[in-house]
Amino acid sequence: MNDFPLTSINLLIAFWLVPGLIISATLIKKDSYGVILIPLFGTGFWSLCFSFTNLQNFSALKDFDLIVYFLNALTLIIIFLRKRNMVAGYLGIILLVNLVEVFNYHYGLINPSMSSVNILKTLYNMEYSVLYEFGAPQIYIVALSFFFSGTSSILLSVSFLTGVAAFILAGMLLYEVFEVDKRIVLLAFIFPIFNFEVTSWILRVRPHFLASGLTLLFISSCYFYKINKNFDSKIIIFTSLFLIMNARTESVILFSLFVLIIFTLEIKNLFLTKFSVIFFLITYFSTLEGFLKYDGVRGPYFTLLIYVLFYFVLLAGDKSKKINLLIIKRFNLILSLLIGLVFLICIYLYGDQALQSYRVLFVKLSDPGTSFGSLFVLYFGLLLTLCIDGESEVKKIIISLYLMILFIFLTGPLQHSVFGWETFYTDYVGRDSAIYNPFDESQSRSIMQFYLTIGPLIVCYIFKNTTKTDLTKKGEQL
Amino acid sequence: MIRNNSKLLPLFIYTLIIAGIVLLSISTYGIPSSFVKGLDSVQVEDIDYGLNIPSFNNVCLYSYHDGERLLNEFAKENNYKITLRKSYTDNPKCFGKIIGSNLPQLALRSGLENNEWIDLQVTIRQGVPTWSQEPIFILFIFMINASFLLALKSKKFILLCFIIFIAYSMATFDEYNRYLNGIDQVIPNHKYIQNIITQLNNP
Repeated sequence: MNDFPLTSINLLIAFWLVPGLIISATLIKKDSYGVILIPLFGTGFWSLCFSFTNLQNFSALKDFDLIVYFLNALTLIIIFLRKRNMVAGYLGIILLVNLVEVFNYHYGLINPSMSSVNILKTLYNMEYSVLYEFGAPQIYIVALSFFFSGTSSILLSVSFLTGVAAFILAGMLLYEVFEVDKRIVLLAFIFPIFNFEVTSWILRVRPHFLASGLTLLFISSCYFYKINKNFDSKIIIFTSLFLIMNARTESVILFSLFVLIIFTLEIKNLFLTKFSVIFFLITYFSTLEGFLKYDGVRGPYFTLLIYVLFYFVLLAGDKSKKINLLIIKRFNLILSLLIGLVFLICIYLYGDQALQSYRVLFVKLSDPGTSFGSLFVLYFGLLLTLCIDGESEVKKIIISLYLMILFIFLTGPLQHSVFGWETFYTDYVGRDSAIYNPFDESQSRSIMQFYLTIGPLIVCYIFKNTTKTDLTKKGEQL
Repeated sequence: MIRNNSKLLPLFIYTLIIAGIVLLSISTYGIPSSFVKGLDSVQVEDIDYGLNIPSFNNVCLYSYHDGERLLNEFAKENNYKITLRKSYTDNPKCFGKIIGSNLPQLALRSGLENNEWIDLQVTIRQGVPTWSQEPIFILFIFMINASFLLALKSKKFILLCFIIFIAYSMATFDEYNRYLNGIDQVIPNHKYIQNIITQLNNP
């Protein structure tokens, strides 16, 4: 095996992280948050940059390596004069990325799926039109863009490490919000990883793991904003939201959760400022770019509808106390009714095929062989524990997340419009063709994505304000 | 924690759902053959299992784990790995049975290669998970739900749920069922990508 291409990999790391470092040093006041936000800002910056430029492959910039290293050093010196801890943290991140990449190079830690390889080939040959036909989310494209075509060097851990950063920051915020014992927070974030299906998806280039981390980061940063209305929390909210919108094309359906959070936490003013309108416009156009030429649930009209609906609900709720109260009190009930309506529409449109899709999805999600089965049982048990507990705004959010899972499950038949039932079925030739079902394609992965979000949130909620002493007491009530 | 009887309703519904799925699974796939049958009754063909691989292709003769049991018994000296792949069928006679493999019908056992992967394709019924064929999974369900019940008394038992979950995941970990029923083909490591780039560089 060839030696690990240390120089070119570090040049790619510099491309990825330096914009993140500059943004973080400029905007974030607290250094510990700033350091962890570097990969998130880096990925966000390139996601935005790729949306509005033709740059989607760093090979063209390889000749400027000396300039990049010089600018990198200059940036570090300037930031070092103001924020020494952040520079130290940045160097730590570079060391970590190098370790992951070396390990990956020699042992294959991160497994790119076939679609990842296809996107990589597309990026390599500058055939961007194929990406649009794929409907590949912007962040997925960014995660595969860090390579030089002349040499065999590629950075595959972008998506994974950005996801890890999102989970760590979410953990720090939840720890501050819920005042949970540190060991419980650690257990809350580690236990979902002890599952094959989850681990296998974490270690792929696809953005599911990242999207779940970002969803949790968004929720935790909203709670954090409620108790600490500083600029850092605002930036974290909007960064996570921007990345969510660009991470998974189906993420736009999360808008109902956003609406619920914004109203129940009474942070709607933040979302109605000019600042956020500009933010949403940028997010919308960059997201739209990723969806271009694509029909169905992932299509541009759907995204536009979601954005318009989002602002309509915010504006209407802000003007009327009745709507405001309705959202705070009865949001999950209304959402349940709408989900029921979607179910009826699916049955009406697809009949037996819809039922088939539900049966296939149910077996996939409850199958012990794929490790989904253990998650299925565990999370329903956790839901039960929540249902028996008293009322709380956190509980509403968690129930809403479960409703999202149900929504994704019930929208399975709508994948018809995305992939095309007949053609996709016959075109797919492979070892798994017998079990393959297009209904199952995105839905089961999206549901797994929510598992990762729900787990830590529920644990922190159950053990809120719990210290080591409380845990050792006998007969502690929930 | 339980403040009134109405709080027991979710618990009742939950128990009913779990028990319902287990019973449905038992009625469709039965219970594992190792629980009720000896190896003799599993040998349904009139062949020398020491010489030939059983007829796995297109006949639905062997149930879920029987193929694995027979291979483990009669081809134990061969260094092979088995994957169970699932597919759907509408034929009630084939629910939970082996319908195919990557081996020729009645192939000679001596023809098995070293480190060979044997794919056994099991057919299942749409909508019915194979819980009844996985005794460890049933044990996991029992233990984790017992912990949830105890958690109604004290929330500390939630932590026990996580420990059971981690223990179950560790106990069932094995490298070859990692991507079982996976949609994407998995590329082993980074070197593969390097090769692709090298090929692209040198058409």
